[in-house]
Amino acid sequence: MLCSKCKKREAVVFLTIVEETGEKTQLNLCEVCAKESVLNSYMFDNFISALFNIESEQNEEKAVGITSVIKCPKCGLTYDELMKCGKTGCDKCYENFSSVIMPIVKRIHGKEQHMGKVIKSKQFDMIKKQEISRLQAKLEEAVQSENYEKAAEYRDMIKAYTQ
Amino acid sequence: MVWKAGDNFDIAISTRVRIARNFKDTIFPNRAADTALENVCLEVCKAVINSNSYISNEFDYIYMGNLSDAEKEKLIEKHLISPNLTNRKSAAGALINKSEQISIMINEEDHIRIQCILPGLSLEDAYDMADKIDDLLEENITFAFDDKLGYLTACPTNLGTGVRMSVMLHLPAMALTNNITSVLRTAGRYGLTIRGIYGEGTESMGDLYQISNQNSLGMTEKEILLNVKAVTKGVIKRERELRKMLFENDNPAIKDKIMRSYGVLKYAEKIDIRESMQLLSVIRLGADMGIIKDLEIEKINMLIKNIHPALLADVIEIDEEKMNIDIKRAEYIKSVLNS
Ligand SMILES: [Zn+2]
Ligand SMILES: [Zn+2]
Repeated sequence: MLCSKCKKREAVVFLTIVEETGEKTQLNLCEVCAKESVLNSYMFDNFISALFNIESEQNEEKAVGITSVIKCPKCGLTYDELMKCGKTGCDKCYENFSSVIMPIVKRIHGKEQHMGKVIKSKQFDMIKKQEISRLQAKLEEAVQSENYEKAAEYRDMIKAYTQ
Repeated sequence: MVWKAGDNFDIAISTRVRIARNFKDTIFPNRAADTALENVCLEVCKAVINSNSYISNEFDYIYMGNLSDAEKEKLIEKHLISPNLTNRKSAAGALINKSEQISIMINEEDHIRIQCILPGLSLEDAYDMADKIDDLLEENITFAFDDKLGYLTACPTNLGTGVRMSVMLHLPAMALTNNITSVLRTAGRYGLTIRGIYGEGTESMGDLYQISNQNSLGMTEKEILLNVKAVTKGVIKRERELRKMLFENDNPAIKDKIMRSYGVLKYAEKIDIRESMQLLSVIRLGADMGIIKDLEIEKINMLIKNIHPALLADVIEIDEEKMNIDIKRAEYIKSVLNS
């Protein structure tokens, strides 16, 4: 199901908003739009904290009248299940839940960019990407040790790759 | 698994390299419907068996639905499949080559788990074999891959290369001198884990430990390999030093322990798995240090592998029905040590 706001990305947040009159509105948002949504002031904060199992009374109070189901549209895995078992249900989970998964990935591996073997169809692009990432690390190292000459060299090399 | 001696065989028993892969656009085994998973089995088999490679006719396909519990147990004890794979009654299987060095598990936690096991410390060869199978599969299968996260896996701990390299080590001197925890700590500092085999957590049966990489993302396969190799070699060196130290000054206590263990194994009428693993560990140390003469390490390795229940039933044929498994085990150990 596509996001009801941008109509571009897959919806992962399925909201049912119950108004005082008892009227129900269904809102399906992608991860990006959910964050930018007008509801964001209280809604997004609320379910993000729910993800991390931070239970605060304040949040619960605010959530009254709104039920949200957050799930991967491809495999049906919900945020709750993801946080409970720590395993994804399909390759698209990584896109759909990226804002929750990326910090976990960083915590596990300490790194965020794949540097190893690459599938054949992407070999050319990826080697470039990995080389840039390698140079970037060297550039940071050079800046940190105040070796600006070396840093400039790396910067030029990165530039050459990105052009 | 071939438990013949290999490189650094006095301490390194075997090397295992595992590569995890998944099909693009196909839900992972934990959430997919059986029909989709049956298709995965079919596609993997086709990719191996119909490939032009000379390897293709070396593999047999084993379907989980067709195996008895005893057969499953035997494959688990040989480390050819995981207990996790056998939990699935259908839509799962494994392609195993004739020499039992390569196994391709289908629909375990990931669609594909390529695994190569070689004796001794042989990370390069084991990775090379696994890598070749990966290339062969890729000729016919499109893998789930992301520019940033690399090969996508069900568990985020296997992202990136999808590679886990492990070496099984026999560390009796470290255990005897209470040095295991300090090694655990050191390995952790290098992004590796050491855990006991056949035991829970850091506890181990027969002083067997497995050292392996913890992280798979952000490093090349080669970097992972060199890291595991360097730390493993460090652990091996330390174990050798401790073995030497233990036998300095003609230490009679340790010699006594070894000969008594040998005596029990040679004459016991009944022995359980835990005790036999522990005693085998001690005599393996004794054989390596020349305390027990004319006993090949390979023979002990074979015992360590075969005394587990399912394999034991295979190697010894005595009126099974009536005989207790611990009696059978004692019988088998005696027969091998006296041969
Ligand atoms: Zn949207
Ligand atoms: Zn999913």
